[in-house]
Amino acid sequence: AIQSSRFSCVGFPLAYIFLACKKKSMALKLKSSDNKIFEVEELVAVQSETIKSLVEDGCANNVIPLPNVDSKTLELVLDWCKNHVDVKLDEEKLKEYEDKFIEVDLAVLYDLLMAANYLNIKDLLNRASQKVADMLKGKKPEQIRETFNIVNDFSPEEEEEIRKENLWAFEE
Amino acid sequence: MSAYLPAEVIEEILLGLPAKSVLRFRSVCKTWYSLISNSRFAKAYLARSNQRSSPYFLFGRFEYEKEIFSLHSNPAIDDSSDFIEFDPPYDTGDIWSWTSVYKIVDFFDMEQPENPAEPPIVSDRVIINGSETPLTLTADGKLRMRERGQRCLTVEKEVLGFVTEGSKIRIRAVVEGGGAGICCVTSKGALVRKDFVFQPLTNDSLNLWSQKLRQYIDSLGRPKRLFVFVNPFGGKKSASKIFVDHVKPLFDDADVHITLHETQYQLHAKEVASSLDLFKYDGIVCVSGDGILVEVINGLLEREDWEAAIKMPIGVVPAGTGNGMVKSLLDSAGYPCTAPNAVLTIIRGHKRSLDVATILQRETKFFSILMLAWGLVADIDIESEKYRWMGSARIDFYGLQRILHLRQYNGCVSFVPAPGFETYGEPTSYPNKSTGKPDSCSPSEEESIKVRHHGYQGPNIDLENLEWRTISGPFVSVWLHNVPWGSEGTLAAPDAKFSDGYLDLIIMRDCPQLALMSLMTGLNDGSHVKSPHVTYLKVKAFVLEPGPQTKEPTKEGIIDSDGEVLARGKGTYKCDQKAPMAYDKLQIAVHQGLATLFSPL
Repeated sequence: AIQSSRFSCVGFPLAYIFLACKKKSMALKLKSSDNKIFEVEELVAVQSETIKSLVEDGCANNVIPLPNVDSKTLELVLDWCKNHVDVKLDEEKLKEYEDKFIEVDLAVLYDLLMAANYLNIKDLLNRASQKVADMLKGKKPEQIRETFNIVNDFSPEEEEEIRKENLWAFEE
Repeated sequence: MSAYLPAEVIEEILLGLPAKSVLRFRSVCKTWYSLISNSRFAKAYLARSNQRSSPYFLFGRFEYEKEIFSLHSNPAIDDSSDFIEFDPPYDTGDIWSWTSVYKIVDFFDMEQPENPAEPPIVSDRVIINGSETPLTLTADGKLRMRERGQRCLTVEKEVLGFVTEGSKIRIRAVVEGGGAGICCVTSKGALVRKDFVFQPLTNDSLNLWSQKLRQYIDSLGRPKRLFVFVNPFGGKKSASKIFVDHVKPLFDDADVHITLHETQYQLHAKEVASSLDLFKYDGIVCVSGDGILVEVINGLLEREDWEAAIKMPIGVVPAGTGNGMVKSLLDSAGYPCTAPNAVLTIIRGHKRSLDVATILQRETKFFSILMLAWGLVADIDIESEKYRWMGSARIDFYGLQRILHLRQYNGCVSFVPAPGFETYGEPTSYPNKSTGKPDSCSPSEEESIKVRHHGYQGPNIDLENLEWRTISGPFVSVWLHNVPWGSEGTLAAPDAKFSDGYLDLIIMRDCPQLALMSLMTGLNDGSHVKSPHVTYLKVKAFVLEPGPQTKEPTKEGIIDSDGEVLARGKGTYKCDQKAPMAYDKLQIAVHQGLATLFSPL
């Protein structure tokens, strides 16, 4: 089966190459969950692995709908991507930019996390996660539940059991 | 915040937390509990923490279907290759094993700078390689920086000096090179020059850093001004090249001011040392073999102000044929005998005292710091000169010849044994009454004595009233050693100490030739002293009464001290040449810790 499918591709390479070249110069259109259209250079957008695979599969000819990302978040994400296109950019400046970029409240951070996860943008996901981790560092389990709206599904006995396993981790 | 975060995002967040928090958050909910208890996550966490900053690497591996962890010090940070290995308390996948991993990661996690082992002298954010990172100098002299993981420089050991370049500070360091890989054990002692440049954020910070670094380095008591002897003719005539390639660059980097003196003839160094203005220098360095070092010691002890002069620390950089002293010094710390190691030792400025032996024959004195040999070893050492064209092979070649035509010498040795060696030999009385006293000299020599009278007269020991023992010949070889190594390849006296106040005496009387041959090969590792044909003991004082060869009574032997001929008997090689002493009774006494050397420990 593999052989035959590979064989079937041979007929089209020229057309593909032609299309690929043409698309490089083209801008992509992204549609946010609140139906706003963002026109971005392909080079910027393909930092999202999700968009990249859509482009590679040839599904990016029209507007790409991103139903999980609102326009406010998408704008931020695309700004991040624009600043990470040029890898040769001064490392110092880039770090300065990232530090400033991530100085947002938890709600925005949450949206960024979700968007970065959905769009599969590794460096943004890392940076946002680390920021959240820094905020959670040293907190009590109760505070974590509160922050993330998590329901405690342990019985008091079970919870006590886990505490006992690692008393040192609960010391202040 | 919304109720839902996908598991992969939670995981990503947890990966960024300290281990203690991770473990605590197991009790948040069942989803988090199983996520954290999962060995896949634990492995990812471990990998992340290894990347981060810990001075330790934690490895998990499978062995006999069990997961075994080992904690290694990070070779990029710490130069020791020690590691601890431990089993997880239960089998693979069990939460307990991973709990212990988290604990250990947390324990060694350097992310929390709250409890540094030592209070910081300066702690600041600086720019290294374009990114802002914390840099700390602690009171124990550790300079910690983040540069692709944590990097720690021990100022005392690794930093030569520093220089301010505009708004940046360049730290000049010498680090142990070798593989930066995790698994490869770095070979000890392969030194690499490396610079670390950082830029403090403000001018005030720059001033503070340079002030504190200077203060710290100054507090180490390193030498700042050195008088350097280079013997351009000695050994392989490579001393000048070694000086240019290894010695000068390192001293320059360490801001050590050097005054260079090339020796032009034999005893030139002794001459210079006996009249040098010592107040101008913090130490004397010999880029040479042992010969120049011995000359310097003798020169210093001849001075009127010998008592102060002999306290001058002396360093040796191996650049000759016989490098027994520097080999002994570096080997005592486990360093290979190389010029960079020797120079670094001098820069760091640690010192140790060294016994000096006074060899006395009537009024003639010679101060020895290495060895005295009579018989086989002296014959090989000196007579093999005939075969100088053979290079270093000449010693082996001539040694073999000497063993095949083995000579034995009549004579007698007497000694004052060190505690624990009192049973060697037979009791006797002090055998050197006539020559030991300076007032027994003949009137004609009075003049010369007055001239030399000012210098060091030998140790102040009442030899007459000590318990003397004696061993009679014939001897194959008599060898006295002050330090372990006679040359780079000869561990002559494995038990010798620099300043124990004793000389190691190695005596060989009768010995079958075949056994002797294996003995000679044992010289490489010092195993010869364990042979039943060898008597090995420590002595405080020693009297040698050399006699002629047993088979050819008209022929006498050679006495060699610190690589030079001390006395040539009748019928020996070049016996017409003048030697400092006669082939006759001579006495040796040790002065504990008289001289001072730059030493790695």
